[in-house]
Amino acid sequence: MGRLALPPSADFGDLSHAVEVLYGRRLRFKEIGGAALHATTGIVFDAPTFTGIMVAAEDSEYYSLLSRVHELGHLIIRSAPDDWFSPELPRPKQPQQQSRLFLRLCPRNSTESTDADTVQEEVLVEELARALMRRLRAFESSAEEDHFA
Amino acid sequence: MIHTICLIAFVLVVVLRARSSWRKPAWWATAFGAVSIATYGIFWATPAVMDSLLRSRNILTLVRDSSAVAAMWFFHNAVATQRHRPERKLPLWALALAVVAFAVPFLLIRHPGPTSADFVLDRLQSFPTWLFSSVYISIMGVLAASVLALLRFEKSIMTRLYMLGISLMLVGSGMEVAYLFVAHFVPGTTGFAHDFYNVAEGPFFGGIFIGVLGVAWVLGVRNFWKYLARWTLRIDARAHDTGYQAQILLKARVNGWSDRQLAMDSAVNIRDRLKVGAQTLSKADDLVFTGVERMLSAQLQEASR
Repeated sequence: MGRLALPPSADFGDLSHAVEVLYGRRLRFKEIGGAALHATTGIVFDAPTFTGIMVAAEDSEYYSLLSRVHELGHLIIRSAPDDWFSPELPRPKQPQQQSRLFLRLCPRNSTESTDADTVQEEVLVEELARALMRRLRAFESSAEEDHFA
Repeated sequence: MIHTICLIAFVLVVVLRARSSWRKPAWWATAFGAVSIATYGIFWATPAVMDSLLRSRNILTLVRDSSAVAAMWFFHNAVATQRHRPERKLPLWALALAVVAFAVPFLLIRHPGPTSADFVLDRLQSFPTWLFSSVYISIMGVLAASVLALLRFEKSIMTRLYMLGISLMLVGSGMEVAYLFVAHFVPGTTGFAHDFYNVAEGPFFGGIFIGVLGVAWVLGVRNFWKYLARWTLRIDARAHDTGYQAQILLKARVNGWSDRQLAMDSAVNIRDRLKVGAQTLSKADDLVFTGVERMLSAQLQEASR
């Protein structure tokens, strides 16, 4: 996570920009209403000119933010240089770009997928997403509380 | 009256924060603040009683002012640390120099005893008394202005309380400097000196009280999140085995998570399960959980301001 070189008190814009640079494609975010995503918390897909991330419009803001960060996590795993991984923490096997699995539709914290690589990636990405959330300004430790409480 | 209110606020904050925060400059600021305000009297220990322990030479006034400057010095450094501006922290020698700057004129005051509530007023015609009082209040004003400069871009409730309190202190300091100047240098102002001796007390102590409320506010917010985090974890733990709560609390402690971060983590787990129908909440729990989620979402709006 430290290799993303986020500024102190980073916001979602900073994180999104860092992933854009890493992934090398323009990112676009969209909220979908009407529960079209059902239990799926978010979708990431590559369009010809940009990479899109869709999340459910009905979700609370904090939850929706985590869904976006989670999808950014998939892009980080896909595009991070090899030296960001280690034998203890290898990069989950990535599906072929034309494969249906490239569009990941597995809900967070779910083990419903029978594809071990997908499950492993979901677990890893969720852990990364939550760590990134704690790093964002909104949820980082409050300096006020550190010093005055 | 205002002294007593300030003293109660200070003592509460000092005692409640003692165990967890005694190493922090902000705690020392409140501790010195409490010492300074306590010199106005605590129950039977009137200023005369306390000053008699110091040979009844109004040394208590010097103790009061030195403690007040120390409190502002620590508060200034606490704000500089919180604002990530370590270069603005004041060195310890600056505190020593500040105290010496008004202690020396104080020690030059002839016949400083006996103990009097009107110690400065009674001797305002003497130059050392004027110098002592003016240097002290000016130092307080400069420290207050510096704290205001550090806080000017912050918009949290705590900061607003600090800014309001410190601004009032600054106004009080300005009024006191002006009063001392007129009373000492302008002839024929004896009546004015008596009538306006306590004129700066209202804004000055009102400001101190509001500043202490700022610390109390943060303390309240912190305890509120602590309670919410434990509640959310309890609801989250219903879907796990008995050791889950202790395991997560240990993980949070080891990784240095704040209570807000812990609440967010548990809330996400709960919402994940609610989404797929793997957990249900009673009406009461659902109401509280909705409140928790709203507060977590409000964090985002606060951070984007």
